[in-house]
Amino acid sequence: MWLWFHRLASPPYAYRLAERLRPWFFWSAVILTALGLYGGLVLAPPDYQQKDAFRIIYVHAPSGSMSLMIYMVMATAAAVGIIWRIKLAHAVAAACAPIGASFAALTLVTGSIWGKPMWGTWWEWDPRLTSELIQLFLYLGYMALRASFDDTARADRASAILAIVGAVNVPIVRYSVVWWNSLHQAPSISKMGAPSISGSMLWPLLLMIAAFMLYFAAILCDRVRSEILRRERNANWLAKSIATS
Amino acid sequence: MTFKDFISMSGYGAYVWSSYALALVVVAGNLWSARRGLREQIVHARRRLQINKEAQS
Repeated sequence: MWLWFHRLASPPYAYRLAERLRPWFFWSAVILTALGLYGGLVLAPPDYQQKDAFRIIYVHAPSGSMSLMIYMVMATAAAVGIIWRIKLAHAVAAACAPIGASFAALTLVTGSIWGKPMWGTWWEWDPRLTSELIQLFLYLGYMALRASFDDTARADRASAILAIVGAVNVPIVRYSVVWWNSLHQAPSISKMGAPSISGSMLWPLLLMIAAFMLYFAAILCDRVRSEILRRERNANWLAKSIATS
Repeated sequence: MTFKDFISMSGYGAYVWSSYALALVVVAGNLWSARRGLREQIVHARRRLQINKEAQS
């Protein structure tokens, strides 16, 4: 386990691993998206209250769960980077931020588009919506903080603290609909107890969530490789990995 | 269900399809910008190695 951990932390190994894994992540994401969209747009019956508008869930919910999951990956990587002084972990954290920010923005916009016909408003200062907006600002703040340092090592340390402290918002977003009386509907899939959604609507949603995770993994592979190249200036292994052949 | 019904989404077509279009833009844009960034970094790194080699010889 520890041996593997140390090997993974070595940039050349991680670089090649990311290169090799990326097509697998990408193509399985494409297949799952095709199945999920067919199930969600064609096979699943219209909702008895929301009619076909409920189908927005198949892009909105996966995007929302990614905006939280990516933050947890980012904060965990930042913590690993701080505690064990692993540069690669900082590279992973830095690579996560723009992806997470884009999913948080997508969640807010698709939620707004869904809210208009269902709640009659594009926006409401509701606990779920507000905490998700803070989630977006955390990503943007993290990126702005990184950009304000010329020195990568200092940017890594300062932004890691922000990432770790900001993680407190993740459970707030997740449980906001349970803790407070929110306009937003309660989660359809719950770890405790049975899901409050019928099977024919549920399986496409699970496929779409899996597909979004795999897209994130594929994007992260490329972004981490960029970060490694940017950081590893003149290492010998680079010459072999990126030689023109 | 006809094709027309599918597009109209029981009257919510504009909301449903704009959400899906935006999701496509975000996912595809992320994939594309990550790829482009990586290509750029590879070009930069190659140039640096070249300069180093010339400096050494």
